[in-house]
This record gives sequence, structure tokens and C-alpha cells, in this order.
Amino acid sequence: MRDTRSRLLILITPPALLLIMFFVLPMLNMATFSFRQGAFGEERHMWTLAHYREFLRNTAFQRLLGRSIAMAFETSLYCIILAYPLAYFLIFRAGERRVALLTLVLVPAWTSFLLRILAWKLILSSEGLLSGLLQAVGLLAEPKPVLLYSRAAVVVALTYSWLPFVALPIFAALERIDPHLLEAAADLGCPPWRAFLRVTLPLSLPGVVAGFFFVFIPTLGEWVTPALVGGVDGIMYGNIIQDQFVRGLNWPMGALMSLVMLLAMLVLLGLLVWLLKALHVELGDLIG
Amino acid sequence: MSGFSVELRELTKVFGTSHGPGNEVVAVRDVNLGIHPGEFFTLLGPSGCGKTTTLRLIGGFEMPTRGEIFIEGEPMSHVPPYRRPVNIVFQNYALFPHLTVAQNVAFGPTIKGVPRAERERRVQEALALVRLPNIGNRKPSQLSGGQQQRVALARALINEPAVLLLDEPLGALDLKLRKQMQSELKHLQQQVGITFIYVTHDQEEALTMSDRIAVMNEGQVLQVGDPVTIYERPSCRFVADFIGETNFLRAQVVGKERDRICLCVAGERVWAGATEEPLREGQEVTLAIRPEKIDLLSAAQANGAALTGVVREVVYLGTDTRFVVILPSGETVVARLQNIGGHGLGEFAAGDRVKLLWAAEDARPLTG
Ligand SMILES: Nc1ncnc2c1ncn2[C@@H]1O[C@H](COP(=O)(O)OP(=O)(O)OP(=O)(O)O)[C@@H](O)[C@H]1O
Ligand SMILES: [Mg+2]
Repeated sequence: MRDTRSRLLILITPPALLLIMFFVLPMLNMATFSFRQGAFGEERHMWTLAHYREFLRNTAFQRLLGRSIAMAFETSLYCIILAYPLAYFLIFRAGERRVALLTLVLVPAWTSFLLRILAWKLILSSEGLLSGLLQAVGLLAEPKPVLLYSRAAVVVALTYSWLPFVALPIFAALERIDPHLLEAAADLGCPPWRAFLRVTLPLSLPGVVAGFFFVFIPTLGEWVTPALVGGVDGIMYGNIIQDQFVRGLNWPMGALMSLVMLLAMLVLLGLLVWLLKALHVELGDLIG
Repeated sequence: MSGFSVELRELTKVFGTSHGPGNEVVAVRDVNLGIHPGEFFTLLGPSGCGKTTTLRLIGGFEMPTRGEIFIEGEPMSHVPPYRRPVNIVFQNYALFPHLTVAQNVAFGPTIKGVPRAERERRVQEALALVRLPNIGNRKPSQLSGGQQQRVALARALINEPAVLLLDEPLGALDLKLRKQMQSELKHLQQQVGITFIYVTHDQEEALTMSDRIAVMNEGQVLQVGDPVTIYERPSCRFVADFIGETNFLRAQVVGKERDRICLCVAGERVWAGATEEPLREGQEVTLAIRPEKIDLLSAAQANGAALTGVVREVVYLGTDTRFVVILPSGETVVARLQNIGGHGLGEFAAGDRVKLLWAAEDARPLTG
């Protein structure tokens, strides 16, 4: 008895220490920071709620947060819309080549993230591929950036970056489906589309949800992509957090804004999980 | 029309492989079968003989390379699985893991748009039929193998198909449960009166459950008949060997009488039953005789047409005793005697010279 307990302790200690050092302490540090007057000198030791008041008063912050949530949501949605048919094709149509083809989908993700975003900047620029194409078909009179420095450019670049990470969990979920289940559905009277709605889709839903989380969470805090291709219109909440730390040197405000983002994320994800659970019960009655 | 529930005409299925031509597998070869309405029909054969493929062809999950399938007189070549009047019970059951037992069973009626109240009543009926009334709210993963098997059965039967296809449905169950489910299935089939096409590689299961059996090997149907015919009058060596235990002896046709044939085996004359196909004098055949049809007498006692041999091995099996006898030709014959009244057990020992006797109609000359 004593033995198992001490062994458990030994097993648990290293990960617990890691978690405390690299997750709990930084979080606490950030939380305390949001109450400091400033980041340096005297101000570091003065406590205040001023930043909270400022955040609540500044509707620009809130609007930006709302917009970033919408952008993260859109990006996740587009990723799923593109990745699902891709994964479906690989599993059900590509046969033995499926793993080779999946690797091809993943290869771009092995190159530098920054490089890929810069590539998009080139594609969308006035001398870029899109501009050239549109000129060639006569839709554009002169070299001009297409989409560049806009909200749309950010969503396009982000969707492109995250696509493989959504394809992967959906691929895995579809791969786990026993082909006999689809035959059983056909046997019980389902034409292919109804078998898809009643069997394939519900069974692959966990992969879709995982893919959604993979994209939504990092995209909400994104700042590099909007900084590179977003311009003024494409700015995201992450950019103003970065401003607080790097340009404004207002670390307490930055910490507070990060905390708010974290909170918003938790609430949204909780809502989503709840919605999915409620939906899952009714799914059978709702579809085909 | 033909009056058959299911009819297969020259059904052939060739699987190509992705490794190019020359690697084709003929899984089913020129199969002709007529299965009567309400019949318990079994496809029996060793692993890889094409049983599952035949069943999948009937269900519509594979397209035939050649030949045609008729279900209730209708040709099926352009009918997809979801419009065929058959249901299948898969070997691994293939229950939907995201649905409850009741939702699984209700799947067919739901797709067909049966109103909720009637659907629920039929689910109750189907679950009662397979004797699983109180587990509707559970998920398949919370059931034992035997329970899953019954749910799969209920999910198929609720659709009242013309034909039920069963692919080794008891294969995953332990021996005791298997025996119990065998008799339950048989009763169920008689109760609902649906044509069953049942796949198994277990000869005992086939013999005890079936109205008729088709014995398959390498994609071909070798013999079709009721269990007694299959066991007592196998048409070829493969069938005789696959079902039960059989001695095979090299023999030559010597002569014929009205309903029996005289053969020469190991230099001695013996009798066998007449065959449907005519045999000529001097023809080489294989004499097939089952161990339990052979009687042993001490060499001194018997006279007349019989083989003589030397006992090599005696094995006590409880209800009977198994003797391995060597003939002068070097061939071995197995005989089983029931342990009754001192005959058999203790009567002969290894090294004894014995005569082997049988009734002519119990021995069959085989040409194939
Ligand atoms: N999809 C397929 N592609 C290629 N060959 C196949 C395919 N399905 C079956 N075969 C081959 O066809 C032959 C018959 O297979 P089938 O599954 O019908 O056998 P079975 O009698 O059901 O055997 P078992 O008792 O082991 O289930 C086998 O040689 C098998 O390898
Ligand atoms: Mg099989």
C-alpha cells in the first residue's frame, strides 16, 4: 500500500512540476500583472484596477475581440469545409495510396510558417499570381494587389495554414469507421447519402470537433498573419496585445487582455461542447 | 415463376488485384443454386472457399463477374443493396456504435419512414423475439457477444425480409453459447418462416440446423442435399472427407450385381453400394467408408468377403473405441465400435489379426 503510494508520487512529480513551472506560475504571474500599475520601477509595486476600468470603457478592444472570434470561427469553418471532403476522398476513394496522398497534404506544413505566410503575401501582391491571372482573363485592368491587407486575406492565409491540421483528425476519425457499418446501413435501406448522414457523419464528428479546436484556439490569439497580410482592416485582437507589450510597454494591460481572451475562449468552447452534446442526442431525429 | 426464393445461375466472381493481371482470384465459380421459400439453407466449406463472397453477391455488396441472381423471381443485377428484399447479419455484427440498441433495431423502419409509435412497437416485438426485452437503452459496447449477436438478428428481422443472410453468426461465441444459439436460431427460423441462407465452416452446425446444405470448395458447389444425403451419400472424396471422418481405399471394379458392386481392395473382394453413375469393369475407384460403419471380427471367426488386417492402435473414447487397422497393402483403416456388451473394448488388442466387415450400402465407390 505504502509502496504503490510512493510509486505514484514518483510518477506524478515530474509532470506536476513541469505543469506548475510552465503553466500555473506563468498564469498566476499574468493574473497578478493585470493589477499592477506598470511593468517597471515604482509602478511595478503599485496595485490598481485602472486597467480593468480602461478595458471596460474602451469599446474598440471589445469590438476587436468580437471580430477576432468571428475570424477564428470562420477560419475553422472553412478549414472543415475544405478538409472534410479531402479526408473523405482519401479514405473512401484513394485506396492504397491514401497514406502517400495524406503525406502530400502534410508536407507544406513542414516548411516554415513564416515562409508560407510570406508566400501568400507574394501571391496576393500587385506583381503576384492572382493579380496576373485576373489581368490575363481581363478582370483586372492594371497590376493591383488582390485581397492583400484585408480581413479576407488573413482568413485565406490562416485557412491555408491550418488545413492539414484539420484534415488529420478527420482522416483518423473516418479511418476508424468499420466499412461493414456502411454496408449494414445500405442493407437496412440507406442510399449512400443517407448512410453518410446517419453513419459516417456522426461517427466522424469527434474528428471534426478536434479539428475545430486545433484551429480555433491558436487562431483566436493569432498576430503574425494579420501583421503580415492583414493591414489596417485585417488587424486582430492578438495584434493589440502584442502592441501593449512591445510598443506601448503597458504590460499590465497586455496581461489583462490576454486573460480576457482566455476567459472568452473557455466560455466559447464550453458552449460548443454543451451544444454538441445536446445536438448529438437529437441528431438522429434531425437528419435524413 | 421459378418458385425459388433465391436462385443463382452460373454465378461467378473474379477478384482482380491491384498488382496487375495474372493475380486474379476466382472466389466463386459457376454456382447454380435454387433455394426454396422458408428453407434453412447452409453454405458449408473450408476457409476461403467463397462462402462470404456468395453471400455478399446475394446481398448486393459485390457485383458478379458473370451470371445472375434472382430473388423472388426478380433479376438483381441492377438492384443496389438498399433496395434488395434481403437483410444480412454480419460476422462481426456491425452494430452502429453511436446508437442505442433500440435505435439500432429501429434503423430499418426509421429509414423506411415507419411512424414512431408503430416503430417502437415493432422494436419491442423484435427484441422480445430474440429474448432481449430490457436492454433497449444500452449502447452496443455495453453488451456481451451473445447479446450483440441477438441485437444484430433483431435489427435484420424487424424488416421482415424475404431472405435473411447470416455469415457465420455464431463464429465469435463460445461453444456452450453456440450450441444454445444454434437451437434458438433454428426455432426462430421456423417461427418467422423466413428463408435463411446460413454460412458456416462448422460441419456439425450445418448438419444439425439445415434443411439443405451446399458443400463448397475453391469457389465451386460440390454437392447440394439434405444433411442425411450429404453425410451418407457424399458425391465426391472432398465432401466425404470434409464432413465427418472417412476411410479412403484404393479399389478396382470387379463386377456388378443388382444393387451392389464387387470391388477388389488390397487383393480381397469386398462389396459396396451401387452408384448413380455407371462404372466399368476394371475401373480404378476410391472406396469411401465411415469408421462407425465397420465391424471387426477376429480373423479366425469370419469367412466370406472381407478385408483382413492387423490392429495397430486401440484408443478408448468413452462411448466407443477407435481401432486403427493396417491392411496388407499398407493402407490404414479406422473403425469405431460402440462399447456395448464386451464387443469392441477389450476384444482386440494391438497385433491381433482381424476381419473388417460392412454392409454393402454403407460403402461408396467414388470416382471424383
Ligand atoms: N475483396 C477481395 N479482393 C480480393 N480477393 C478476395 C476479396 N474477397 C475475398 N477474396 C478471395 O476470395 C476467396 C474467397 O473468399 P471468401 O471470403 O468468400 O471465403 P470464405 O469461404 O468466406 O472463407 P472464411 O471461412 O475464411 O470466411 C479467398 O481466396 C479470398 O482471398
Ligand atoms: Mg467468410
